[in-house]
Amino acid sequence: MANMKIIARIIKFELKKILSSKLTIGALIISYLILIYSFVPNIFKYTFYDDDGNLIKRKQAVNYEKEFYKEYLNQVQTDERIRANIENLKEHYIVENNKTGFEYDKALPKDIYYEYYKPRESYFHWLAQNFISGPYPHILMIEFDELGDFYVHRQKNCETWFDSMNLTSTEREFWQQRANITKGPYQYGYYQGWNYINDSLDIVVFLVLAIGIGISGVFSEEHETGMDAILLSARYGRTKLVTGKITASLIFAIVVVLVGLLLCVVPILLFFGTEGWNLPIQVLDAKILYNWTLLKTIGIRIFMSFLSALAVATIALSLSSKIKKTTPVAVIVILFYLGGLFIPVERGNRIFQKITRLLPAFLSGRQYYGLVTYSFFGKVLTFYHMAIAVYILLILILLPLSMIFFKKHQVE
Amino acid sequence: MELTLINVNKVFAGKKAVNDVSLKIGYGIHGLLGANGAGKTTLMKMICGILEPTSGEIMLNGQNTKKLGEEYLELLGYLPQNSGYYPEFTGMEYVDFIGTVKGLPKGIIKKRANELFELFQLFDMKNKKIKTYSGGMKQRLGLIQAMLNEPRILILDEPTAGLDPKQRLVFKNYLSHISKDRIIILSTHITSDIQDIADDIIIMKSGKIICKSDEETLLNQLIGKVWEFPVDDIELLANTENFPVIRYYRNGNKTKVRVFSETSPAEDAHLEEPNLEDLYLYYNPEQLQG
Repeated sequence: MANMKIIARIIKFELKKILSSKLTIGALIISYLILIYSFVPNIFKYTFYDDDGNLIKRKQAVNYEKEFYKEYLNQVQTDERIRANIENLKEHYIVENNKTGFEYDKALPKDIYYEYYKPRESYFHWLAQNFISGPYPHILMIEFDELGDFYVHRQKNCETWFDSMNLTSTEREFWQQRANITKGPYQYGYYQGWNYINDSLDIVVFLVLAIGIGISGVFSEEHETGMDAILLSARYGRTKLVTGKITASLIFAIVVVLVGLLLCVVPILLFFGTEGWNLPIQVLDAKILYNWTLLKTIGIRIFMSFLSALAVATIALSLSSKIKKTTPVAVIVILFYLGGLFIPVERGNRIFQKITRLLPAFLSGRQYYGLVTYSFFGKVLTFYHMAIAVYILLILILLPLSMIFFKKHQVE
Repeated sequence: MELTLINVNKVFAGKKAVNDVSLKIGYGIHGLLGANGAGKTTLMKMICGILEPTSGEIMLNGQNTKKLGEEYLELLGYLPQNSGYYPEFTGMEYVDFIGTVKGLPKGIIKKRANELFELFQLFDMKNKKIKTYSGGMKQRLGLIQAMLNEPRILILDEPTAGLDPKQRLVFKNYLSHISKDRIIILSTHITSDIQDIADDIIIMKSGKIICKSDEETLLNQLIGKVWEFPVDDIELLANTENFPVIRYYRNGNKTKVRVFSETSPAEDAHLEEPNLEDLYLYYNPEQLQG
């Protein structure tokens, strides 16, 4: 008990040291501001149109949209329903009036545009994505006779994708099974809150960077300031102090991510509501081959965000314990973490892709869009299984190494 | 309690910083004198366990200090030569932190800290951030942390650097007061810091122990060798060539010079009682003036 009290007190002081760095505070503030900026303006600018084409704003818009979805789109999207929705749109559409491809308001009668098309805009985009590749798929380009129904086309897309990816036979079998499990039909519905949270989680990258910067001096600053001489000659300098430093660093990493998550998840869900938590991930994109709900998707991304933070914290700690200067540690951490984002992953061969995908910068990203798998002795692991295994192992190896490096440090 | 060093060596990049040092150190104040680079700091670091000897052993009461581990470190208080601080911590937070790492209960830390802040005239500054402290205040803060756990073995490397004469006197008196049942090893260039309070003086040069004895015995070696006489400025130049000059100083209209010499160096020269500064320069003639 007394030991725990000592370590708890050391943790308190170590956290104070981490947070007393102006660079760390600056990095945290900037990261949180970027995070807040990723969704707050969207909330303030949120709009929806009523049947008469009147613009509704903010919470009223959300409530109106939810009611609309409840009546018309919170349904299982069978092939028949999809076909009927698209044909209904085509019936009123005057192709010649849409010169740029985006002028739906000119190509449709006003009442159809505001009553039928505008509220279903995201839905039509989702449908079109399945049929037509590219960033701006045009729903009216869909010819069912040519392309087949939605779910048939989805399965065809999967096979084409597998063909292009140079998969081994084991991997192909693995993904084909997943394609079959997730072949639909999909329950669709209102999920704006989870959509915005999903977008905000992309900003975790900045938080993790701030964590790396904050922790880079945990050990090395003691060398730089000359405090190592006093600390290592103290009774618990090579034991409880080291435990306290590492624990404080991991607590810092977890709290930074937690605060970031609370800053975005709570306001977003308060504004948009929790509807859609149990919709399949395929409402984001039908080609995703994971059998998850939106809640599970967000949960996994949150877990991976924490893992990414702990991984970078561990790497920073081990560098800090070995390299006696804080600036090089921070630079290495920043370059290693951010550098991963600039690697042209898709250009490399399969092995290159598999290795680079495991870099910490990609951990909290949308890896469910990919077909990255790792095969070991006939067993296939998804990116998530592999990343979790690799990083837990990395943490289990590097953390004790950090302890050893600092404990064995000689004050020359 | 006895600290024993047996054939302790420390080699850095082929150069011996500490060369075959063997010592027995008991209770009392032990002044460690030597020029820069003599090996004092390296020796102190090895005693404190923050630097591993290349060879040799350091023992406390017959037991290897490394094997004793925390049991040994609990007895230790150390003020390094260039002590580190956390600028954003207050003095009290800094001492609280060090006290925690030393394993002291919170209540004891507070009580001891307040006593020491009072003793070293830093009480009004204890809740201010260290970045607002002057050099002398930081040095006193360093002394506070070193003494916080009432160490049985106190290692102080240049402890009075930055202290004014009054503060040095307070420090000296305090050391003298607590030295009866403690081992105190103190390295300094300011010989007056240990004059009259050191139980023995250890002189180091080029990593070796040149001599170790009490102040009186060591100074007896210089009896009959320290002279002073007045000079005018032109003579001063000549004298610096003929005799090792300890120092010179103004005395009224005249300049007086203090030298080492086996025989009387001038007609009006008279013998002076040797002091520790003389002793230090006697063993480090390269530091003499001229």
